Amino acid sequence: MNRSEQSSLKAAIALDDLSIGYKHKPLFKPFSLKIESGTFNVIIGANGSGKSTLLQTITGNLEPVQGTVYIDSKDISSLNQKEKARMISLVYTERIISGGLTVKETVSMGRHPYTGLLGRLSKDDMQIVSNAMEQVGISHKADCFLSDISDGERQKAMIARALAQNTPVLMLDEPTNFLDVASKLSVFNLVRRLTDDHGITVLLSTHDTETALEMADNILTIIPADDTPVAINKAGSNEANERLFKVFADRNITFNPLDNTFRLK
Amino acid sequence: MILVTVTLCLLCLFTGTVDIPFQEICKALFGDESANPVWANIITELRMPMTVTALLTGAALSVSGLLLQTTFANPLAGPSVLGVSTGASLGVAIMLLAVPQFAFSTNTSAIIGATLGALAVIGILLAFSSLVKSAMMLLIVGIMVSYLASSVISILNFYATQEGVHSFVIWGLGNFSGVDRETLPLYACMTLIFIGSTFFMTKPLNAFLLGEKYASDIGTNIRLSRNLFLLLAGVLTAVTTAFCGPIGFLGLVVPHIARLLFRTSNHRLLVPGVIVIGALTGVLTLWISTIAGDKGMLPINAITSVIGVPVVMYIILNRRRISYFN
Repeated sequence: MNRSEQSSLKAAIALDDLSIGYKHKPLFKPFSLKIESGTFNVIIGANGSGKSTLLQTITGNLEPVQGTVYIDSKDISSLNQKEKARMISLVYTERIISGGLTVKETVSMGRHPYTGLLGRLSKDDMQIVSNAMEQVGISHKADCFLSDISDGERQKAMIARALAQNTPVLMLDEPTNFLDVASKLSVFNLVRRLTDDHGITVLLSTHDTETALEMADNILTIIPADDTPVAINKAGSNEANERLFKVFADRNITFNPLDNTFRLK
Repeated sequence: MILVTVTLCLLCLFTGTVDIPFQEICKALFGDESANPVWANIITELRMPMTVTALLTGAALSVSGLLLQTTFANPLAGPSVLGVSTGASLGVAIMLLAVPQFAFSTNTSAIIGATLGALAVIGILLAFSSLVKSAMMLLIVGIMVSYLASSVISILNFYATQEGVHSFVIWGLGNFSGVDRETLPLYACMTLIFIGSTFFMTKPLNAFLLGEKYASDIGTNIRLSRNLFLLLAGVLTAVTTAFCGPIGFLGLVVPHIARLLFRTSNHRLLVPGVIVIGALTGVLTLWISTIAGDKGMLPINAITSVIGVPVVMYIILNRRRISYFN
């Protein structure tokens, strides 16, 4: 598969009467929503409101309490591990444990869902891997060990790995938590570019609300106590701002739509 | 590396409790009729099987250690930590101590006991593996099982006959002479098959380096892979422990030496690397055990500890700088 084919891979996400939670205990009321393909979507919610739970449910790693997740009109629970890995790639907050892999080896693992038993890479696979590193801007560190590069570079390597996985959907769970301002901005920029250039559908949860609100197409807000606990609105729209007002309202915090910041009342 | 291993193998053949001239050794090795029959016997029936056993055992335990360290993402995991070798010890203790009429043929009963004991612990671990999600918890289960087995062994020791205790203690020292020439092909087949199958697991093993979350997201079946790793590591430990007694440290230390020497965590390189260095360490241990000369052989476990402890200390003190497992 080459780059032009990658851009033809588009998938919308549909959540139908979905209730999420652990051990059959729903976190809040069921909800339904649609995420358009090729958009950059940001999830905003308080700590413990269910951002990660939502992401894990959409990936199919966590069973929904009720309802269905459709990706590209396919029921996610009907896919096996390998099929899922070809649909969705993920980037997490946590540093990865082993430092003894090079950036290139790590990015190459994005090809695992496509390679055989021994994981040998074809010429095409290697081309995809070097393209992914190129696009993310990590090629110059290809032969460095993960333990020898900065946190920001490591996250970029993980994004390159996700890119090599060639999935129509990319999800990032608080990918910028431990990064300095420069690295944060460059990760957001990168994600924005991937959405625009390749039509990847991005779902990113974050606490960097200011940057996120500026760069994203849509804002997905989680307000557990609300009648519609999860909703998606166009960034900058009145509906989105109204939702953002409510996100931390119970903690005496208000939202200023002029500069996208949260402040104490 | 291979050259060093070959040299050590030859050294193992040349040195021992009985001094044998170089020419005679060559004669015996190449099956020359004129060789002194007693000396030839020592070479082909004792030293040769012992050297091969040391090679195989070193490689097997090291591969087992590598599998466990990757599965549990823990640099201090090893065959003896997981309770598999303690399980094997318990099996042997039951055979030698609780059923003293077996004590007369120590070898056979030890092999049966160790295999059953080790397989029982693997069974327990696999059962828990489907119950608990995190590898860390599973490691703790292993350590607990290990404690439990140790205490049962102590109780058995308390009630056992003197001869029983004696043969159990001797078995516990570890030795490479438990495999004679008749059982060597069997032992070699078993260890080589299991060591060889590790080559087919480099892909999921590498995926595990990213942590279970990422591994699962790139399409690895976590539970299946983890069970396979555990089963393989367990069987390797069971087979070696059954024949050679519980040999400590080798499995823990060799993967680290391999990572440091090859400067990588990538299993494509690490698996063959660990096999070679494991085999090398095995024969090195055997060779050192013979330095007492005509006084007999030093216990293997004393030597593996002397080699192992400094390496473990070095790893703990330099964990940051080594950074392969930060």
